[in-house]
Amino acid sequence: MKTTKYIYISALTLTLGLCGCNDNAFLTEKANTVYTTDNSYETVDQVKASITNMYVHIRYWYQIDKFMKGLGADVMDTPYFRSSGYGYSYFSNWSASSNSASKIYDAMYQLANYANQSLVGYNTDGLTWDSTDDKNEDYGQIMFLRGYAYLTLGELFGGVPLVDQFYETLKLDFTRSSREETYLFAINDLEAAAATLPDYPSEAGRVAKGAACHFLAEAYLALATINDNDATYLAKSIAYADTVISMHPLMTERFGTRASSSGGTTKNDIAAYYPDGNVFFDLFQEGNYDYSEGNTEAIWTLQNDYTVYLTYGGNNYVNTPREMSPVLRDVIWNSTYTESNAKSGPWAGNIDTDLYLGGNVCAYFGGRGVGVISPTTYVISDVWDSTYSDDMRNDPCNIRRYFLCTDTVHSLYGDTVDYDMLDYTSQKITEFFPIWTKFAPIDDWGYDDLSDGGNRSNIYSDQYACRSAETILLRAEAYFRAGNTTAAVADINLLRNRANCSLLCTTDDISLQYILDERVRELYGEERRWVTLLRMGSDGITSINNHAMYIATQSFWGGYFLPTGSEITDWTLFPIPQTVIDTNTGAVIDQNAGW
Amino acid sequence: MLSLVLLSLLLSVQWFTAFAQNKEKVTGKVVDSNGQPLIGVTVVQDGTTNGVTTDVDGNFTISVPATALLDISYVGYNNQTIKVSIGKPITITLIEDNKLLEEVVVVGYGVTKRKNFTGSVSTIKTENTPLALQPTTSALDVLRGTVTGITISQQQGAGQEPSLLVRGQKSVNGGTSPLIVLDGMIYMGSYRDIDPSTIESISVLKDATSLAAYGSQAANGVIMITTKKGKIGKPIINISSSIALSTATAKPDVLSPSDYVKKVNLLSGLDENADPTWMNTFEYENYENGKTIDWFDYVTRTGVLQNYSASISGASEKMNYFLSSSYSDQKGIVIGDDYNRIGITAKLQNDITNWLQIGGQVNYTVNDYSGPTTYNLYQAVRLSPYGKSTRDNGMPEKYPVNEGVYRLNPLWNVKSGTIDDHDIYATTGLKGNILIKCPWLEGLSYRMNGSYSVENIEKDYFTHEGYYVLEGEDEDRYATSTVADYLASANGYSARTKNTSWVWDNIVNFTRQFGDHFLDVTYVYTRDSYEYNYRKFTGSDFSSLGNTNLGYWGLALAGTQLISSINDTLKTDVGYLGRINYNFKDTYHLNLSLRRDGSSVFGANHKWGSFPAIGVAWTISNEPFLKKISLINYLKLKTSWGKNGNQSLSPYETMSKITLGQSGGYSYTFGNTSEVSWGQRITSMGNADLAWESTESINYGFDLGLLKDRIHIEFDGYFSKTTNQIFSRTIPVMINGLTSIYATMGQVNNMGIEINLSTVNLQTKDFKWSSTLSYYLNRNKLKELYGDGEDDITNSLFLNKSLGAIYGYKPIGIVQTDDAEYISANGAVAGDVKFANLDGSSDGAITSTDRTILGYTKENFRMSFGNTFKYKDFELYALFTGVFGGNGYGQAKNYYAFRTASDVVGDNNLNHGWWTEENMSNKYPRIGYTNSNYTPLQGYGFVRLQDVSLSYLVPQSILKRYAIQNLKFYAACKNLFTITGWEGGDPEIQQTLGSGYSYGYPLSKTVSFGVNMTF
Repeated sequence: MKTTKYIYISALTLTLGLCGCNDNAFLTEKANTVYTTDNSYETVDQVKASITNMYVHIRYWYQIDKFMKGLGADVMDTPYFRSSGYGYSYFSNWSASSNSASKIYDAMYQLANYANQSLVGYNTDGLTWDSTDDKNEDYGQIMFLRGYAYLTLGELFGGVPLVDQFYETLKLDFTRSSREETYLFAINDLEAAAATLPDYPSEAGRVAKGAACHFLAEAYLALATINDNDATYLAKSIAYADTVISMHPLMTERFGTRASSSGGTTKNDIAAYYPDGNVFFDLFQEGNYDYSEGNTEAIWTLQNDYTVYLTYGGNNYVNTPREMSPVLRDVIWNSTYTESNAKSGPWAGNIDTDLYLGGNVCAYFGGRGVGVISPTTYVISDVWDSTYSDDMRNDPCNIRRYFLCTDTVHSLYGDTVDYDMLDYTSQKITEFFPIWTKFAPIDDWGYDDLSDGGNRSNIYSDQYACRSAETILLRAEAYFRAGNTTAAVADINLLRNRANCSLLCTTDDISLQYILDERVRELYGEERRWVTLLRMGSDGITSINNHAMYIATQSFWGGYFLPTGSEITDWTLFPIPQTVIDTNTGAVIDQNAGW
Repeated sequence: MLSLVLLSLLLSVQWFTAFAQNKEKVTGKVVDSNGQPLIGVTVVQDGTTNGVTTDVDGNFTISVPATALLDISYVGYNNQTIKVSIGKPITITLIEDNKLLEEVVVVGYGVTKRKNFTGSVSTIKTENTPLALQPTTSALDVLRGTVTGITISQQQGAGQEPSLLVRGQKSVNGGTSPLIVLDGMIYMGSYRDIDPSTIESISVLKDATSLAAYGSQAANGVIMITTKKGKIGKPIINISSSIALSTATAKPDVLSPSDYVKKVNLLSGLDENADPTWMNTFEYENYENGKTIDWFDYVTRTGVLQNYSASISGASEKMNYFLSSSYSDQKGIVIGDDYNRIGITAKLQNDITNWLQIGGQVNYTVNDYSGPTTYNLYQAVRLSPYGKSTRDNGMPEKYPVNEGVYRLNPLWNVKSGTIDDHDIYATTGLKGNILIKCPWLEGLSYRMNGSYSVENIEKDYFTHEGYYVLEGEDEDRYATSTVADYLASANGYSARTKNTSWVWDNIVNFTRQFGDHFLDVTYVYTRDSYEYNYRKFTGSDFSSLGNTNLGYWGLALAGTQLISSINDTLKTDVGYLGRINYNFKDTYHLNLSLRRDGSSVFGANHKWGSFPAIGVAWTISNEPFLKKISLINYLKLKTSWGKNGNQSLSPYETMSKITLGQSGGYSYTFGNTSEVSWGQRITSMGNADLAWESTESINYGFDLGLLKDRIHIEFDGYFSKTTNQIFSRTIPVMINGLTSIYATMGQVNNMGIEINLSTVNLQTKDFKWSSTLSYYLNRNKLKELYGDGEDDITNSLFLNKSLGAIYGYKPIGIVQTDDAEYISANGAVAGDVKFANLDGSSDGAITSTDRTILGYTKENFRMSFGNTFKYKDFELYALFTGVFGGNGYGQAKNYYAFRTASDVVGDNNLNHGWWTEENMSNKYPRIGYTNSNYTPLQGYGFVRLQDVSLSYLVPQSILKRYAIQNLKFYAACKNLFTITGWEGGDPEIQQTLGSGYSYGYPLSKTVSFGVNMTF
């Protein structure tokens, strides 16, 4: 009996005891299908993947989120029919907690930190690159993207905390540097990039020396602006711009995929050749965006590819036809022109789909536009008064302003619809505005996905991050700030001449506003308008106050809606996000003035 | 199907059935304490399966050896064992079971008698009660309205699982689901695999001492489910079947076709009665011809639920078996929502010797959800009544109205034949246990339980090219040759999930009564593990094949083939539990326990936590001074304190993770080659200090039995404090590009009371009326958030307020034409909503400082009232449940009950008027009014007849002739009627048109008929 007892007790103890001692091993986590930061930089390819990530990231902030391109500034906003007056430029709704500016702050610090983390990878011991050039190019790209991030932060937010390393543990005691220090930090990175990047992109989509120099020109211009137009800085800006412009001369002749009357690839049964086009038209045709595609003007392009989109989805698409086209099918006739059997508007229905494939969402109407973003009257008509009638940038193949009545039942079928035929008493009038061909292709040649059931919402062409036309305008501004108006005027006329515009700029015309206007003509929807305006400070704010959708009267819509917002009076920089100030508990981050 | 299942059961039971030995004939009669004969009492020869039941007069005859003992048992009465006396008939008087004292309460890792229990538990017996008659596929449905302190959602789609909340929301972000313990072991599977027909009872543990046994997994409550076992007597064969028909409890009331046209005309800037030229061709034709369609009718149907189950069970003293199989088939009330389940259970337990018992159990369940289903029905509410559902050839039209891309036929997926969907959940569970009773020390035992379960989920889905038909009006769009253009878009996937879990419990228990002292000591060592393993393969682009006839079976032929995901996560837990239960003279009770838990999901610096609990109780009714008062037959006071945890972390959440490659999704393409480059990105920052959310709670209450338990009152109150909430804490983006990190902070307090009053209102020989009234009130308060004393307005979290706050501008009517002051101060126009100027600003402008808490989504209190009437062989059961608002509670956003405009002008709307100059409503704004500041709320409180059932037990006198032991016919209804002020749908699920595009799956009103037969 006793023996049994001991056997029981020892068996029991053994069972319980044995399992007890390896509890900790049992509880240790082993992530089978997840990568952790512990194994993130074991090869050069992982460093390169980190760099790719930065391109993916910055592409989003150019082509998917369009805020930086000027939403709420002088050029574009949410149209009235969507906002009822509370668009972006209703600035009294803005605060340090509002999302618009803070998401850019976050996005730029994310870019800077991805760069910092890539540097950790780049500096990891034991990694071997194929060649020194390859290694240098990777380093150059990292430095470029970090410099770009801090330059943008400085331009939009002023002096910000300068973070040059990747923290894996909490750090809550950041302090702001001065705006000048931020610019100098950016310049330092960009100069390191310029020194190591190849002259031209090793592959389409990568940045090269031209991009580094372009943003150095912008950075020195920014630095000069806050230092009373310091001549040395302006000289540096001009010198970097010179480098870019000589390496990336403007395109002046028709070129590329749709310029040749013989051959070319037919897409969606549309011939490649577009006889009414011009060089400005060609700049925005798929297959023409990259330097490697013969476009010398291209400095840095964001890459998109339909095959990749079809296979993997992701952000490899451009939704400008959907977001930036008007909703023509909703626009209605004024009572004089309503006809009993016809549709309520000239473009609503009864459409001959042989002529207009896709009916009321055909390419002629800008595809399936839903009018998320509308240009302001400043962009639609103020900068394009009649004196610009022969400017090719204003040619109907580049800005489509007038449309034929497509309602086969209506007596005006086939006639041009004048603006005064439309109903200006209905909110629907705000769904009407011109179509820029750079956003929505002129015909189905541009819609790659049609054969797969696409509905003209998206295109898949590359996009410009910057092209040398912008460098020229940076240099014009630098010359102007340096007092060399002749050179400034000459730069603007470089673009006018390329556009075959008979009206040329004179030294009497030139001003900062004039340069801003020219930027609209050349770069609407391409440049980071907010960055340009806030870099200029109060001069930029003036343009917003004079033109923004809900501050200035918008004559294009016949005064359908009146200004709801009030002018910006007390700020020239975006607010530092309140969450950043609140969560940085170890040190004080001062808010910008006016917030 | 059913007959096959039955046959296999019958065959397998053969060898359990013992032979009766013919010895001596014994006759007798069983009566209750009043001398009334008891019918259907089981009389079994002790230690055998030789048994009979008493007839209508309480008489029985059994043949047994002269030395045998007879076990007499009857539900609701104490068992008796008597010696056989040969010759003269014996009369046996069964004493009614004093439920209160002897009832066994299932607690963590064991059982205890209710009289020794210091905590708070609610037990629902489902076997042979009206609750078991509910037409449902969900085992947990019986808890709704019958158990205080628990909130359980109503089932919406066919075979969908409910969500549960016990004693209020304690965690701001973490999970709120209680832990399920099935037959004494932690259950990590899905609710759908618990077959309602196998359930004997469900207990809900709520107070900290009861929960303490489950430490870090217990803070959200524990639900203990006990399944049926064989009962001593001759084998029982039970067959039941029911059929239930259901329709939606509430139909959205939308604008009439003519009001719809007026509305869209006005929104289009036209005259109210203008010709609706905005319609497209076929819409306009329908309008001219007055042809309308009710879209809600179009998508719904009479749902049918069929439940069949068969079981064979029995027990002898040494052996107990239970075999069952069931089949449910549900056609939900939305067309296309089909579900079926097959469940098989086999259980066997055997006493090998007097000190060794072993048992085993096998479960197998298959749930089939195959076929495309539409769960979001907003189209069926929004679409134009002049839209077109069907083409001339009888096939569905994809775009029923103008502007089709966002307005699709709600049954396009279901009826077009362009979607293939295979969706199967199959679970196999194995369980075993060994009990060793120590032969040399009475009361000492060791039990080892093990369970292992594998759930395999098969999900295959395919979208054929025909799905991508374009907008338009001509039939050519649907031609095979036209849609063949979209073969590149055709796509599908095949996904496989395998969830493997196991639990291993070691329980050493010592239970013994020493004179007046009762001692129950338990020591537990337990481990469990849950592994989730997933793979998904996708294929798209079938242009080179010319068709997609193979559907998802042809994924290997796709032009683009991807392994889109392989995921494996493992979570492991270890627990130690020590517990002492002590009582003196059944009057003074003490319960002490300590659990120490470790979990793999906790951060490296915080792998272990300790969870103590203490409970005391005093059965005053045992004290001499109270024994004199005959009114009170039972009174126990109890209180307890304890600490529990909530494991709201998922595996690997404490690590710094990066994402890369194709599954990371950051694709780019350099060099115009169409070759993809993948980005590598950090996605989360680790925090090795993360651990469990911790809840401390105090429970107090009493149990009171009056008038020999004719009236029974249970009262429980609680206060709990949940700290170390796991929050996604916002951090400065400058650190590493991330804007949040998981961190522990914050505190939520909960308090509440639960009252349960059970009464036997009337009892005569043939008639009994009993009722249960329950009341449940819970309040919570956010005490602390991020430590800075600030509210988090973005997430509607306010310090010292309840969770579920709705924050915004307070609407106080509509701006009328003469409100000049308000109009000028706010740029408003007449017909806009007028907001309260709460900050009292002198300029009268409404600004962000005018915002306030408008109400709380949380309800005020719940009540339910159940009644059971028994007349002879009839039983009628009715349960009313109610959720009550008031004091700002019980509110939810209901935009379209007030507003008319939506993003899409051509949308239909809930049926109500709008402000016009002629008819200046003060409730509804003008027709085109949209303003994100407008958050109209409505109370969703309601009272409903949730369950009602009528059953008839066919008298034994009739059944005797057919060798049937029991036969019950019944009818049961669910959600028969509802009283509410909520508009747009059912109030319980707060169903209405959402501000975006949402309209939830309707709740069902069900009528069922069933039969239950025992042989």
